[in-house]
Amino acid sequence: MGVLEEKKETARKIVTTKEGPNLKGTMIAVMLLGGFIVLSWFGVYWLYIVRL
Amino acid sequence: MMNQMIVDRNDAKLSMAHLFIAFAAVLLGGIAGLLQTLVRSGTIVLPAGIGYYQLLTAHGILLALVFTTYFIIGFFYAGMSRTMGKFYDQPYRMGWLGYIVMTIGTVLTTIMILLNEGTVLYTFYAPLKASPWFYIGLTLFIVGTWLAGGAMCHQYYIWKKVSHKKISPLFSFMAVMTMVLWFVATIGVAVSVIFQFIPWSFGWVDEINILLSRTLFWYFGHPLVYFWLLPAYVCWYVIIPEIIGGKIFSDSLARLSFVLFLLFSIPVGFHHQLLESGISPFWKYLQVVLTFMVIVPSLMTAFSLFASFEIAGRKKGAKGLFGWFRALPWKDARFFAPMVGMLIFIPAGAGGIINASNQMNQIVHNTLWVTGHFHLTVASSVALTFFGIAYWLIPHLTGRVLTGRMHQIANLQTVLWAIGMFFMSGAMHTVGLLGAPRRTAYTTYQDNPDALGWIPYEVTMAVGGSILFIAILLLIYIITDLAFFAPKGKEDFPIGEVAEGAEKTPAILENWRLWLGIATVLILVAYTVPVVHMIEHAPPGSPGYKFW
Repeated sequence: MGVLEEKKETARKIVTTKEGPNLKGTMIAVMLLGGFIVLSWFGVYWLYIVRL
Repeated sequence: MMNQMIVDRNDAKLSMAHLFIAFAAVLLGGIAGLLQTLVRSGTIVLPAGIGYYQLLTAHGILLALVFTTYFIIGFFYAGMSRTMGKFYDQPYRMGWLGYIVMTIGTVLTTIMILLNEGTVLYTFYAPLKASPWFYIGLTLFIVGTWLAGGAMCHQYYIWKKVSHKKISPLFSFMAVMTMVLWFVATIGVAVSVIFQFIPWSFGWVDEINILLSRTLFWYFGHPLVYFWLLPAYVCWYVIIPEIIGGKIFSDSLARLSFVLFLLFSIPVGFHHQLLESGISPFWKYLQVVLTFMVIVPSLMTAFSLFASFEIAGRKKGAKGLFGWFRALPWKDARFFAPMVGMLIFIPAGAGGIINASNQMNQIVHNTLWVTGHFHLTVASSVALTFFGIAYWLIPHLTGRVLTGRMHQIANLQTVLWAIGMFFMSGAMHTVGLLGAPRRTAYTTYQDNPDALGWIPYEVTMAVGGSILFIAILLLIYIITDLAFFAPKGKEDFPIGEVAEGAEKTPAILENWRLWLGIATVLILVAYTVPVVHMIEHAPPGSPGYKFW
């Protein structure tokens, strides 16, 4: 195995062994938060349009 | 002079001196608030010649300025002493001097309001003209806060010099950033008060440029909102992770969000003036875009907090997508009050984005919706977080403990506050969309059907306000107990640690010249041309009016 391949192998191992924390719930919670903001915004925008 | 886990005794006295005035202001401002809701709903008529707008001014000044500012400064002194060590002599003395000057200003302003000589509401919009002593009181108040901010910056400067560290403790960095934001923001209101209001109110000049005065006010007024919010964020980022048994998700992310708040919370005041004539639509548009940039650090904060909660919950064995949410310490008053504040910030933030949108502002401008909005932001998210901080900070400073019984009473306080605010702010939002104006005493507009339709909502506001007042009485009971009667002992000052594996904080995040330089450029871009226009092509000046 050449030096370059060895480096790639080491990098691959680091990538596969360093597991981040499970943040699925965080992801969904932030998306729900974003969704709520967008819905509220369009709610009042609709009010603006119908009152034009 | 390193991290010593407890606040130095002398620093504790300085901090407590601020907290006492803060909570006295809550009681007085709360009484004014209760009476306002009862008057507005037509339930009572004020006795002894007391005016509705006099109460409204007292409520705004005592709660939005006095409570918040004294609490923030007291909290920061304690936190800096906890994370950097005892205050050095010079900043310590400057801290007391600031306290004295602020307090003289507060007393003078309050006397003017009580004498009915300063009934101009907390925004003191011209052409309403108060006694010059009202404006001088406000000036002294601001000068006192500058001395306080100077004390903190001086302490930070000496600490960095002595410790040779490039990165300061997260709490202290955030405290200094908040005070720097305050320095930059208050320049606007100081210029307006010193060069416009004081000469005009003394009669040295006959007229005032109203457009310029409002612009300078809102140059200050919007970052004022972030001056209230950032200390709450300090609690959410630095203290809550420790209380829940978790870690700070990322020190770098927390610092970056504070840097972004410095950059994007100041050149945005025009979104409060979207219906103001005399400002070109282009500059309004630019500042609305900059306002929307603030959403970025806000969502970064939301992500970071949820992540801290999820990591802590999963470490405790929480399963499922949202099992970590249940695993949070809901019975702990130090967590519960700020957490309810955070949850309320979700609708509060969404409402803020609506207010700042040009077209939608036409629906809500000057209506009770806006009053409902800031009762969710500052009077719920910020206030509940400050109450949650006080529950451990006061016993820490007075050498007492927060007992299990007091946890329960404090949680009841939080629940009452949330219920009261649900009714009051919910009714304000709804009736605001129906067109009910803010800053208006009880009237049926000669029995106009639209105005009569608002009355049930105004009664709901009074019901919510009454519940909130009970919550204030409970709060004062808790604060008094924690300051003077709780059992002697040791209450922790929680400071979170950064999660293992988080990236090292880059030194650039503490490069003040860089961030202040960018902030200055943004402010100059957003304000120079319109302000020069307001002076060169000034609208006709106005004499002062006194309608009360």
